Amino acid sequence: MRILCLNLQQNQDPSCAEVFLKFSPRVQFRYPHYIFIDIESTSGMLGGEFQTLKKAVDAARVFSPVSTGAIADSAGVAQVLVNFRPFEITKPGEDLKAIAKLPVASLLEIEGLEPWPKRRSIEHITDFFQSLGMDWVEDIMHFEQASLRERWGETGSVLWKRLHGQEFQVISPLVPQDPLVGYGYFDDPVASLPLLMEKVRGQLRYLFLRLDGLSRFAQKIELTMHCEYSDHRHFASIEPVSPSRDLKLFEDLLVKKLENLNLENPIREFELHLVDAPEKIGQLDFFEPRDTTEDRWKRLISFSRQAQVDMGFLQREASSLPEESYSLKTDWPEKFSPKDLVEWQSGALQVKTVHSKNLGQSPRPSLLLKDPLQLTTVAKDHLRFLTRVPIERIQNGWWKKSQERDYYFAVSQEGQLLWVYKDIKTEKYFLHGYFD
Amino acid sequence: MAISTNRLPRSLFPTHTSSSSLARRRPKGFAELLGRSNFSFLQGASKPEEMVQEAIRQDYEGIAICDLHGLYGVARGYQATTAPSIFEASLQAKKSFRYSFGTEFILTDQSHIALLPMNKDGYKNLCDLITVGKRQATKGFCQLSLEQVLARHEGLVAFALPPIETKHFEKIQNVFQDRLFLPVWRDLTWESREFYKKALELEAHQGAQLFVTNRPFMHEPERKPVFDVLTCIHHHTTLEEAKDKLLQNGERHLRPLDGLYDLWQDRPDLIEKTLEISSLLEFRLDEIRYRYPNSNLPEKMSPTEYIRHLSEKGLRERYNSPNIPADVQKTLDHELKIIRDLEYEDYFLTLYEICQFALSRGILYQGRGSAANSVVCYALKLTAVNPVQMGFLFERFISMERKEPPDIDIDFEHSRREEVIQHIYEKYGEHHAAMVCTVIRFRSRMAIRETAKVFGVPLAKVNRMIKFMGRDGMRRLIETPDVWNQFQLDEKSWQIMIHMASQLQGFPRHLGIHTGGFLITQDPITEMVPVEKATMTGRYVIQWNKDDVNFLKLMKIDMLSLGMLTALRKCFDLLKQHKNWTGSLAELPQEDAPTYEMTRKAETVGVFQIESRAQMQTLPRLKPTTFYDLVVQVAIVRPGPLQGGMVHPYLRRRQGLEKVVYAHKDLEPILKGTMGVPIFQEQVMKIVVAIAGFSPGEADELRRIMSNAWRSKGSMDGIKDRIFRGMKAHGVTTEYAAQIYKTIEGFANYGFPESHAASFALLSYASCFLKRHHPDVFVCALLNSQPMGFYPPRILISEAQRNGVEFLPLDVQKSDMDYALEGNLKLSKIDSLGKELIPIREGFTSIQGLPKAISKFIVQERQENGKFLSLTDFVQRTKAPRAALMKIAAAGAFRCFSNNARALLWQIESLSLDRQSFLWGHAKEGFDKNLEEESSEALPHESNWQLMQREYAHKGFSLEHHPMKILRSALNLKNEKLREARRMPFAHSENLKAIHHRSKVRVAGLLSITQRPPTAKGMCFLTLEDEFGFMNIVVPPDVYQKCRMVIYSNSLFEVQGQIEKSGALINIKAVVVLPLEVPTGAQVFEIMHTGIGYG
Repeated sequence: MRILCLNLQQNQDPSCAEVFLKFSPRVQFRYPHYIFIDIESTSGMLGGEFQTLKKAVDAARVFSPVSTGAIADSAGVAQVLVNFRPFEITKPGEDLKAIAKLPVASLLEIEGLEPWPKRRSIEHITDFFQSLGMDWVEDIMHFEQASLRERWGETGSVLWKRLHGQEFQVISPLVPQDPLVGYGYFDDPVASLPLLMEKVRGQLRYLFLRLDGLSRFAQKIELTMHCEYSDHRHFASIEPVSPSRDLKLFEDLLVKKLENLNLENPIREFELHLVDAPEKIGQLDFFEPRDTTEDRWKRLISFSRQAQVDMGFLQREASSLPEESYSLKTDWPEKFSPKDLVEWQSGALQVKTVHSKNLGQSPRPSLLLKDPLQLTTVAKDHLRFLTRVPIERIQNGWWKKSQERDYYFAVSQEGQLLWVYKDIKTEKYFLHGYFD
Repeated sequence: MAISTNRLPRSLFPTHTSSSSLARRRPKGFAELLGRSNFSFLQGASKPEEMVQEAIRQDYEGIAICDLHGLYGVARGYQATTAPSIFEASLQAKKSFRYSFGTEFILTDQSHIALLPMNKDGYKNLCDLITVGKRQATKGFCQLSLEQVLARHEGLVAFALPPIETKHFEKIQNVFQDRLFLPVWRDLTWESREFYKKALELEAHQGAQLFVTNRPFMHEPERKPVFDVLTCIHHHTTLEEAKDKLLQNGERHLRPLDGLYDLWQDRPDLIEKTLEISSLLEFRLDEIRYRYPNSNLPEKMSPTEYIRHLSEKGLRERYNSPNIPADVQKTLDHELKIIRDLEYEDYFLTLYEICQFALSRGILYQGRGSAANSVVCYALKLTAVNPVQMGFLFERFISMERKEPPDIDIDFEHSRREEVIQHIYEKYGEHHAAMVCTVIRFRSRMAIRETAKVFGVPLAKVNRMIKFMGRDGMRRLIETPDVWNQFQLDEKSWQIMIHMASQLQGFPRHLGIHTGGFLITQDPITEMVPVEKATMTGRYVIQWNKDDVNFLKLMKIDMLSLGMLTALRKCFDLLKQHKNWTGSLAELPQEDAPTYEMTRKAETVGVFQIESRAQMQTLPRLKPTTFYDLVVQVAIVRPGPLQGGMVHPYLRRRQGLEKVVYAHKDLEPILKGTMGVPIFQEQVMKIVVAIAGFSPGEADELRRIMSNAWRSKGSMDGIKDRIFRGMKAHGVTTEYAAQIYKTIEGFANYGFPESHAASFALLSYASCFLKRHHPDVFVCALLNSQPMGFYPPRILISEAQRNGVEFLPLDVQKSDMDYALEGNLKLSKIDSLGKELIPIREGFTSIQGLPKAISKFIVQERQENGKFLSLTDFVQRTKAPRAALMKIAAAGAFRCFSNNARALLWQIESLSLDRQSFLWGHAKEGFDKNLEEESSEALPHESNWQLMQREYAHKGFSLEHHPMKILRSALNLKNEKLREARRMPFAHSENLKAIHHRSKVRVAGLLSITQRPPTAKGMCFLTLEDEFGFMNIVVPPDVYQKCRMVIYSNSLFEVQGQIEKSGALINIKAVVVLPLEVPTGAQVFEIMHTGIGYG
């Protein structure tokens, strides 16, 4: 038996084995980052062992750039070699010779498909040999199996067998089962699209590699991005006209979709979901009836946008500034009811006060100007202010652009009730809304 | 574009009951009753002192501090009202100003209520409620129901805080009746209008009593940003994301009266209501009557009589005479009178009882600090220094003028302090004893870290900032030009962020537990102060720290621990057992010349206090000859004298190299004992009184500030200004004034009073004496008291070996748990200088990671059933697990069975440890002898270097092989090559003495200690050790910067540099520090066996 072992060097998902299905149906992933491929019967078709090793490592390096590989008679020795003598291909029947000059600590890696049940026990054995001055594999080759079994029982016996190539491990054909999902986490959260895309692109490329291995096509991708400093999430979904394996197309569409994304709150992690299809499938017809109210509203919004009318659902936001306390959303609005955060711990509580939670209950004009209109002195003098002291004072944004306003109710000459504020710094007056 | 909403204002102008007769009438005054300070932990943005001072500045009639779930900051607020610091620009409160306090609770039904005590009963109930709420809850949490509050309503005033439902209000009103009030405020938010509207309804229909408050979370509006930052930290969010979590505006501050009256001109009666409520709150913190437990009195004896009886009895024992010397009796009478007048007898008697307990258990203890000034403490055996002999004054400890409670710190053996603490809990109960808290504050690192996170700076950058700050703290961030570029931040955000972080510095973060401060009370402790659960299981802490306790004149006792006391007790036990000497600390011969001779040579490794590198450098220059010299020696190497630049002048004057001069004639009586140089804390205080015109009150305040970790920059600036002004008026030079101020700054970091130094010097002397006369006993006791002191066992052992002490190797047939002296001497005198030293047998404690229970069992088994016959016998009798057997074998303790440790290890690995098996203790599979012999022969030979490595790995030292001794042969070979190349050869510590001053030198050694004290201006000090002794390496800052990675990642070094000699002192000023090239195992093996140069 000839086994190709790949060391991907970084922890990987078991699904990555699917990438290598094109080298042999007998592929097995072993946690955390090993791939074992039985190339006994396929290496000939791929141009020999050297070419197979080269191609497999190239495929692995697309998603794990420092991957290495090695080929040996047994999976265990192949794993030792991939770690201590990467790219080595042993001559058939000469595994032991190939590892004789390696340090005794290399025996930790003589695992193959079945890792040591307790790594500590094999560590103990290698440490023990080292503590007795035996530093190389050849130093322990002359011990009898009984000698190792006597000291370390089954582990000692298995070690001896693996060392002498007397343990057989069989790789079964791979049956793909894992969903096509990707995930990315930023240790240093990103606030720029190119940086975000770099990682998303990596995940996307990996998913497409798996598709390639599986011989399937991508119908749709959905990207969910989680912000660092809150529970806020951004969503993006790409669905081209027909299923495809054109990675560039999906990338371009995604970049375009994310161009206007506000990344002030940096992205800490994202999830990528790929919906696959065996081949090209038909799309939902435009006139096909949609049943839910949400669908109907969404269709209306879609129509209005085609007519270049800015339309959407009104989403309440937790902001002190009135003009920032609403936003237009294409999705159905979420429930908005801020309250103090209460944590319980075996009957005791801790309350984290939300100091302006009632801001949402404060009266706001039915027509709110997005951009407040500055009043001239004459215009202001024509207004009748209903209170001497401000109705509300808002002081916000001291860490960037400070906003300090005193809000009043005022009546215009026409009898219209207005919402007016004075900028505390500049002492200028602005009209911010009309009441019905 | 316009956004459409469906919402309309429901009520633009809420109706109220104002009458025209009330309108525009100026109220009589206002008192803020709901002040919140930063002791609400992340929910308040001003210190209690700032709140009080602002209230005074705004001419309020009073203020009440109502922090969340506790009385943490009330003592500080009270202090700002009654006794603000003399040195800070602070306002004095008018006579009518009322300071009150209370607590705001968030109950389990999530309603808020504030409770303020009217009288002592109310205060007891309040403390009780806080304790009930906090006692079982973890940090930051509270578990208290409305029913529990209603059950303890007596003597309390309640404020029902909005939002409040009518039914809830009625429920509280039924119990509190006319002691229930409803606060209303106008902070220009719609929410406060809604609350006010609801309050008016309750006033109209339920007869609720309304009053005005600012509901202040800060003392001035400028603190709003700080409050926002704290809110974000509390919510774990950023300023950008916090949105409605932040306050809508900065109106929650102590508003000027005119503005407040203007805002409430429709209801001046609600403002005046605050005066009415304030007048109900009559309880003051100084009413807390503190009583020490008097349960230790014999029948028919008053505390006064009993303390006199004990003191006189104690002095007779101390002087070993039926008559007490007249001068001592006089001092005793004087002290007892003051103690009686101040009613401190119970305090002394409680301490006496605790110390008697320690004595009965054979636990060594000693009082430190200012208590050493007292004859009573000396007589009661709380302290060991005779104050009359030393000329100490009792008034430094307790004075009628200061009326401050005495502060007695007692050190117990570190390994047995827990026994004393458990005794206190058992005797007084957890309802009468609790530990003092420490308030953990935001320091520069935490302040920067939290603030940066709030500003949305990614964590990686925050970590870089923290790393960049290093030891210099925030100063480095502030002083480095354009530092924001390094972290890719814009200047404006950076400046705001740094400003916020500096404001945050010093803010309380959470509570910790004081190392040993206890408060013990006659009455239940919870009637006096709230108690809460500490992180350590079974421990409870009060909500005040040591400064609060001192200010409120409560008497705490400090139960500290000291490793040296453990070592000394073990010394005395060994002396009794092996040298037939039964004595104690007090009975050691005084002023022993050979002991001082040893200290002059700086052979002080292992002794108390004077063993550090800096101390050892000073000793040969200070040349101690008397006990007082040791007192000075203990005190001089401290930040106080060091920062004040007092050390070198003192040493020069002592060596006669400099004339003793005084900056002012009035300083002569103060500084005569220390050659014109201030070394002790009280000298500094006396100096400022003598030549800076400080009043005794100011000097006392100075002492308080110096010993208070909460000192503010304002008070230090005030002191500086006061010193400069005062000294200028007395004609003292500005330079001397600056030097004195620097000394004060240093003392604020760390410095000793004379009495404290004397207590420590006594232990230094005792340890030096024992080391000099009984190095075998001393090192044995030290090794048995580890971990303690400055040096690891490796250094203590090699130092003792160089002093002639013989160490016997670990052996399962002979070793005990601890290191033990093997044999006895029949000595009649303890001051015999004959070096009849008893060998020390290494104990099982030297094996790292060997469970105590196993070693104990091995010793017990051997003692009961005799020696072990073989390895199998050992295994079967001790039932030790394999890991323990391997450790014991690797440490060389099975040498009685075989000298080949490797073969033993190989054999142990094959043993069956299955007790059910007939092969128990033998090889698992029947022990095929041929196979075993064959494989044993295949084991490689172990060289000395490998043996040493094995022992170091399992014990941290090797008795037989110093690494440098093994490497010396290789170094000698290398020296030949170096000489051929006309380069400097390696020297060792022994021949450094023969090398001329300022010669170039190359040395090699094993690192013992690395030090880089903040006072050393960037210098790094290495102590290297070879087989002959120590070598002091001074690494200048530039060399350190180049070699720091080498220093911190190696243990064997080659140092090239220049030798610097000053008297007996030899230092090597490093030019290059390199890792020492160690030959590989094989090379060392060859060297060992070819024998070239190996000696």
